Order: sequence, then C-alpha cells, then structure tokens
Amino acid sequence: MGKSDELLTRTINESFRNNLKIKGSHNILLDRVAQHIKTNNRGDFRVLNSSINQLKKLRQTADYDDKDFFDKQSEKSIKLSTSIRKVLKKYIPQ
Amino acid sequence: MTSKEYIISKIERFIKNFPHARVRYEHDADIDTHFVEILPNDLYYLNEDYMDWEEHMFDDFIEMFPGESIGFITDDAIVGLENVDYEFYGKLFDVVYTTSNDIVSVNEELLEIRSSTTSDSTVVNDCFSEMDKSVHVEDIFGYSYIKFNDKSLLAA
Repeated sequence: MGKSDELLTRTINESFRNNLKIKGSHNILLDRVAQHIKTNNRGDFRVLNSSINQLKKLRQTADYDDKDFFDKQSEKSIKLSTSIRKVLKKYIPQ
Repeated sequence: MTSKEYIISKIERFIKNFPHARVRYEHDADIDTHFVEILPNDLYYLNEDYMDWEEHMFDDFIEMFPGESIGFITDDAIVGLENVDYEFYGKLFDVVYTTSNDIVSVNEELLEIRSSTTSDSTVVNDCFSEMDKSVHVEDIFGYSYIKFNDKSLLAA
C-alpha cells in the first residue's frame, strides 16, 4: 500500500494526542486506506467510502445493539462486503 | 469547532453553491461516523464539481478529525439514514425520485404525477387514498421516476 506500519502507528498516536477522547484506530486505518485508493481511482474510493460506512452501521446493529438482525440485513451486509472486497482486491497484491 | 459544527458549516456553504441539492446529515456516535446524504442522485453520481467537493471534504475532514469517519451516500444507499440530525434544502431543489429502492417516502405537498407506465387509474387513486400527511409509494409503476401532475391519471 505504500504506507508503512510505522507511519500508520505515528498517525494513530498523533490522533490520540490531538483528541481528548481517544477515537478508534479502525477509523484511522480505514480512512487512510480510502485516501490511498482515492489517489489511484476516485470511483473506487467513492464505492469503498460509501459501502464501508454503511457496513459499519450494520455491524454495530449485529454485534452491539439490542436489536434483531434479520436475513434481509444479512443480505445487505453481504452485498456491501462484496463491493468492498472487489475494490480492495484491486489494491492488494496477489 | 467540533466535527459536527465543521460539517454543518461546510454543508451550509455547499447548498448555496448547489441550489438544486438537498443534503441530510446524520452523526452515528456509536461508530464515530458522519453520514452526508446527497440528493438528487445524478448530482451524486455524475456531477464532477460535486465529486471534487466530496473529495476535498473527505481529505480535510480526516486531517482535522482523525479517528472519525465521514461517508457520502445518496438515496439508493443500501443502508440509509435512520436518525437525521439536520436537513438542508437548496433554493432550487425539486423532488425527483430516481431511487432503486422498493419504497420511497415523500412529502405529500411535493408529490405530483407526470407520467406512468400504467393506465390503471384505480391504482393511482388507491395510491392517493392512502395519502395522509406523508405517503409511502411502493414501486407499483414498475419504474422509479414518479411525477404526479398528469391530471388524467386521477380521473376515475
């Protein structure tokens, strides 16, 4: 990806220093991946950014909320994951 | 300035430059993610100026608020907004639904029929009889572009 672990760690640490409340490193990682993809292909970035944030919502409901998670929501999750994987696979060396 | 205030200020400026747009904003605190929904969806998918704005907005936001995310969607999003915090209408915003969703929610006052693929006026009348302050119009016409201003369709 061209971004070293060291750089990523530094970015995460900086964000911890800059925020009183410690925010999620997952978001930082996802944002940096999205930013990297954006420099290559705006269309891929837009698919990734939109899909991943929608999937996060569903994941929150499935894993943490006290709500039922129905088959329709599972189907939506699969659909979103498929679009995300399709984009990511382009940028991960096989 | 909080991340929310920052986004709101950006959207307020955006809506002046894109008067045909409607923007809805939602902050999901559980996942530290801000959602910005843009309508109409041809603006979202086809307008280069909009896409430039989105790109810059994303870059600026993650630099200013690392650890939080911002996602841009339109009305065909698989997971839509559930708890809208703010809604902004451009001066020239016109309700044209081009969604692929099965069900769309619209404001009765903004609803009109321009054309339909069905000649069955009872379907339309049934639809209108369902109307209250708001209405759910299912995709009964077989397509998603619905304009309700053809008065002949309303004749029983």
